[in-house]
Amino acid sequence: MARLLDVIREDLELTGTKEGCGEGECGACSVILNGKLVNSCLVPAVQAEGAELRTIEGVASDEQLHSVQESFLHCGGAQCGICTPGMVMAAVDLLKRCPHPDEAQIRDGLAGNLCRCTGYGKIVDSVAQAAERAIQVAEESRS
Amino acid sequence: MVDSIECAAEALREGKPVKVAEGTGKIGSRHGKYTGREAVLGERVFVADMKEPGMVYGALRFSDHPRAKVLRIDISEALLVPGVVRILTAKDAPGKRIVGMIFQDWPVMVAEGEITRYIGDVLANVAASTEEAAREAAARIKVDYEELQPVTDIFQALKPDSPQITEKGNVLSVSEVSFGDADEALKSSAFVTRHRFATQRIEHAFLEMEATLALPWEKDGQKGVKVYDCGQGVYEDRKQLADLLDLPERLVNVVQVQNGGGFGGKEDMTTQGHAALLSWHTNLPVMVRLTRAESLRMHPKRHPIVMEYALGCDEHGKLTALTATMHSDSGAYASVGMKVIERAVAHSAGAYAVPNVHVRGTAVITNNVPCGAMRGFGANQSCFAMESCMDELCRMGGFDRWRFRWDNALVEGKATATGQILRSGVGVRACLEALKDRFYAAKCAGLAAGIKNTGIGCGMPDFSKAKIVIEAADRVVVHHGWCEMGQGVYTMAIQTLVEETGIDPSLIEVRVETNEEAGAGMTTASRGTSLVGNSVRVACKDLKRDLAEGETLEALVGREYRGDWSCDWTTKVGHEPPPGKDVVTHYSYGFAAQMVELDETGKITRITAAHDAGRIMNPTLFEGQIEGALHMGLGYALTEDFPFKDGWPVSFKMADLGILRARDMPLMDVIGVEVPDEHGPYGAKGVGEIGLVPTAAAVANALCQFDGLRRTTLPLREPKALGKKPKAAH
Repeated sequence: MARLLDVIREDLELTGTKEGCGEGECGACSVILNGKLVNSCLVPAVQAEGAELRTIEGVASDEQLHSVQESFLHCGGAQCGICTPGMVMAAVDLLKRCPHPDEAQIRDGLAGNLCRCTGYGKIVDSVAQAAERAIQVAEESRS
Repeated sequence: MVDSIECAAEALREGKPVKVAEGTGKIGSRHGKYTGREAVLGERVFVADMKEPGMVYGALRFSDHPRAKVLRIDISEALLVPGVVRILTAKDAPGKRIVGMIFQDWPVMVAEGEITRYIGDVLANVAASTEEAAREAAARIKVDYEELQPVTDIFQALKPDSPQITEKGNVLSVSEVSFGDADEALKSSAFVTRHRFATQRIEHAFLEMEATLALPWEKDGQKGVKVYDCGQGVYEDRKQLADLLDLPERLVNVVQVQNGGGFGGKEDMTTQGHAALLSWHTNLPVMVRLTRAESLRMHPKRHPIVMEYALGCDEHGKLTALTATMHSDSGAYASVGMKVIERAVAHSAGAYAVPNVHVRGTAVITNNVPCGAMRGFGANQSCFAMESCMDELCRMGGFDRWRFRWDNALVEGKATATGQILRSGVGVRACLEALKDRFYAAKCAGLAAGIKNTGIGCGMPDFSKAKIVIEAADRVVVHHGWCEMGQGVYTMAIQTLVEETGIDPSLIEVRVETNEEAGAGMTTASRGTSLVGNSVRVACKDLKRDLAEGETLEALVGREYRGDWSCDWTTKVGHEPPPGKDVVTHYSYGFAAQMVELDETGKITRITAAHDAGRIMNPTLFEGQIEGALHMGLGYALTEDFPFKDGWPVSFKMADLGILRARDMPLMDVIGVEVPDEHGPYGAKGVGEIGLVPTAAAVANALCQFDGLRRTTLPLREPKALGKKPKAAH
């Protein structure tokens, strides 16, 4: 049975979504399906029929990086980069659900994603910074 | 961590958006990582993402038994699976089928009549139009075996009545260092502590599984092969692939693709040989990629080592002698197992000067998965033992744990466990100093120091070539031989070039491809920064002169600048150096001291890591290396394990590896220390591995302060250290 991950990577040729384990453990294949963060390796492709799917390729708009991506660049949140797309998806999902997370909430929000390079420190920094920037943008638009 | 937050705060105060950290691009700046933008966009291509017109997929058929004589391999039924293009067995290798980085003992495929050595042995190799068909066919290959009793315990393996896995027996290698009279010195020591330590096998768990894309390639009208490789050393892989295919090296072009984590686990070839063979025989592009379970099954792991330590000191707290016996489970094939035990022995006294040393390490061959390189490479294991003994001596003699370490620390003029007298750049005391106030202020803390070689040394050459090509007025390409696996070695090449020439870093591209003949050895031994930096500096000499004479990049288009750097003056461990020469085991070392603090429940609240990097080339990448290593070190200390039973992993699941998650991690404070190295570029030393050399010991020592119990076996399995309740017994 085809997995959503296979459809994304092989049929749609959107290879930004990675496979790290195929057992729902590492989160490298995280995508947002109908507004919910899922491991696409665990979702049968048929379940996604008619659904709204957002992958890493749909996070930036044109040449403009998403604030989470900007912050990952600025803070050094990506090392080898293989967990990065999944981490970015998890962070985008978290900030939508919880725009002002404290550190514990960030760490919980990334609980489904493994990183073997960073120790998560600079990833947590990246998400915190993205949240800060969103607040700042909101304040600027009010004033 | 603090820096990023402060930077964000500053940007907020000034009311402008935070810009991407470009830095100046020079040494010491927080220059952004090469291709970082592509990484956050998901646009950076890994090998498994590649596709070529007409590409077919490979699948490997693994042995069904850790040790069995292969009587017959029948591919007839497998050939009937729709989509199958070709099935290869051992006899299809045109050249040397037995490969290996140091000893050539590892068959790319095991032949009929031969005996398998572990469950990751490959018996056949299928190409098919889809991955599914290839796997289906691999499963349908019928193999008849004569099952044999596997040898899975190192001490059983050493008994005379054990089955012998190789013609030469079950001992891979013995490393020994000895100076002074350690046994006598222990007898007259005021305090002696003796312990048996045991460390576990662990998995690298890079998140990118192994993959290779091989395709037909021509050079000068001759048939060759091009290989997109996620391994850790394209020039080493080229040599082995050329031997396998019976081709001259120039007809094998191995292209480094930035990989998704290596940590030593991608030094040995896994899928490279199979993809190259399939492509060679079919004249098609062939992708071979492993599943997670196959990756766990196939590549070498971190060595479990059993260590009997005896460490003594006098009544004033001066170390007197160390004796140790070590046995490692090196598994089925050599890989670099002989070098790992050599490193464990050479680092057995840790970051301390011990006047009498006798240490002997034996690497044992078993039918378990091979163990090879993994971040720390033997130094972690011996540091766990040594630093635990240091605390035990403090307890026996009533010595202050910080002062005891300071007093015994290596300094210029003192010798390591190999007898190498260090001449300069010894940063242990500076690292300890950085922790001093925090240590004395802490309620419950464990301390450990560490040393880690930069460069393979031990009588083997460390070398690097660099080639700078001015391709256009706005495009400069640096070619070298090192693998980018997240650590930032490509960025190191760029920053060195910027430092030397002032060229705008946005114009610089990095390429690693063997056809460019800018070689290096395996990306290992914390040496990438040191060697790429030194060779790029040499290559910059003439370019710098040309630019200083007023030439523009435009005028220099087409010019090529080459640079070489090598160290050939190290000496073999356990051998007398050549007459008139000193013992130089490695040309450079990094140093560290780490401290783990616990709260009143025994939970780790903070880990502070002071690291002597000689010169911090890029603070963001430096912190990233150390923080990532601390994560791996805490996992090694507390939870990570990859146990085997009867030659099989107890579990093939990533979930069971014990890798720590974001919420498990305590606060990490990284303190950079700079005691310049005389050989490294700008004084830099390697930092890739040392970040987890002292960590397990610092955790064990902290827990011992908490409850008085000396722990001697890894992983410690202490849920309270992570703030978790113990799991109920099943």
